[in-house]
Amino acid sequence: MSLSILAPTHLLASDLPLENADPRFRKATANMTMAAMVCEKVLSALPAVEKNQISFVLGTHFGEVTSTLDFLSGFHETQTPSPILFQNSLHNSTLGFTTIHLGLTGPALTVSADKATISSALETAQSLLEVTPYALVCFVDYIPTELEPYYLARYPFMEKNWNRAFCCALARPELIESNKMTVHKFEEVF
Amino acid sequence: MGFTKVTGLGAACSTGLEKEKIFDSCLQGESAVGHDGLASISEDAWKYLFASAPETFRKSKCTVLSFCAVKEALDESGWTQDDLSQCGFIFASTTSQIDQWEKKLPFYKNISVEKIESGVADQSLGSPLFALAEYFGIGGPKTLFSSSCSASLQALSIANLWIKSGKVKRCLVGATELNNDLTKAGFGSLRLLSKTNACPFDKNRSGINLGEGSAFLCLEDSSLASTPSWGFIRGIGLGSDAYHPTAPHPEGRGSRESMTMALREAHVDVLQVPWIYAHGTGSIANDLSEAKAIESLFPQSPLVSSTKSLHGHTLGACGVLESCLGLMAMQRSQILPTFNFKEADPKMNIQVCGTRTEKNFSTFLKNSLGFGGINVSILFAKHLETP
Repeated sequence: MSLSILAPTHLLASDLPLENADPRFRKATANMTMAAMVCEKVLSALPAVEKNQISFVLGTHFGEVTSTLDFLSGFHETQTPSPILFQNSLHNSTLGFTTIHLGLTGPALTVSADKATISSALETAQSLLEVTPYALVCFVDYIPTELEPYYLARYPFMEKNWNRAFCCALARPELIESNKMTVHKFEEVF
Repeated sequence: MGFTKVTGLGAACSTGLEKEKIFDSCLQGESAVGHDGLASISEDAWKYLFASAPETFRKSKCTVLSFCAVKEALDESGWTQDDLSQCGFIFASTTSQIDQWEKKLPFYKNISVEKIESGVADQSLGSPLFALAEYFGIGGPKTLFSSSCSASLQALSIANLWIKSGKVKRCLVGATELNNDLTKAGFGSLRLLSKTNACPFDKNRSGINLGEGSAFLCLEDSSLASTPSWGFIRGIGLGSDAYHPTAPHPEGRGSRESMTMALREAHVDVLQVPWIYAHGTGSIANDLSEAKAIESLFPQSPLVSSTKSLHGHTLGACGVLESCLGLMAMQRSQILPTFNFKEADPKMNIQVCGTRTEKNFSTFLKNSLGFGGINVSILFAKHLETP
């Protein structure tokens, strides 16, 4: 894949500051917290630009697994569905949270394409450079610890992308040159 | 730079298992909404779908329903196996094969290893995408969008970019959603469901009817010689509210921006839009937000319709299902009516189309608004020339 990657940043779930956590994340899931933190860091490395001039693509293989399972098991146990857990269970909720957290008003899409999630999220972001001059691409997946062996057995390609978030930016070539931005090759990063 | 032409349509949902039947139900006002407030595919229809699908798809309702709609669209497109080998494929769904795991995986602490393994195996949203691609021999780039109720209109938008940039010459785009416990209980928890037939944009609207369905569109570069087209994608608009996880911006800020963007790309003036096929879920907040966006942008007050009170709100699939119906309506000079619309909401200054209206028109705007504040608009046109 021929891509110029900007400001690659990653964060492990184990590095999340659980104590004295930022109050803006008090209702956020692990996926949301990790995604918002890495995206904020990448965004700060870009030149100042209007928030509607940045596309945002979130790649996630399984979305909000923990909230989804908690919502369904809680509902079946009590017959009282939790609106907060439902809101957090949506496949798109990490994307929604991050756009609100960062004030992003450009195109925003969630990609969940099985083994092709990473490559197709990057390709989607590249396509969106036709619409906006910059694009953020973020990957995040977090699975309940007890289920990890089952997911890894079925989806071995997930091993390196487990319980972590990664974010980078893409930009139109002329902007990379005029802003003298440091470029990383796809092969270096992935 | 070329344009994107629509050469094949396929659809299956609670009001019919082929596009002509669904379109007729929209004109006749035949609703599939039952006493439970859901628009569900009947048991008999499911039996037919399972019996007519190849063995490889019979494991899940998602794949048999998708197969039915894909086949109808591809049959109409006239694409050869050689065409398909280079064809792109974009699928959209927010829950995919949820029927295969939602009664197992949430109880992983108390169920057998076999059930956990099969639940995990079926949880990947992308499985149907790759199964359908393999069966039909679709060999180009593939992806899946799960961006809430806007997912499939986003899929059409990205396919349009792929075709215009020359990444692919042809692209199959579609979506499938099923009624399930997660969405039913979830939308219920947000107090968004109507127990009776929804009435979008009506003063007395009280909520939405969830629905299930699948629809696929065959898109190709307009420079290719092919069968007559259903219409063209002339402009796309994509944006985000950055406002609330499950409520649209109250003034329709994001929706207005996406409509503006689609019109700008199409070089079409607001006065040239005679019909807006709205997202129109029937929820109090969605309809008011969308109406505010429309009235602030269109001084001539174009006709506005929603058909969700008939086939229900098919969530991630609604964008492609309703694009399919809108393109049919444009070819047949019919503005689709908003079934169950009786009394205008005084808070909205829009012209809701409540009855079947014959009108020759050559362009319309399709909107989607989704959770997370995700907005998409597409301007469709009958001809390549500016209307």
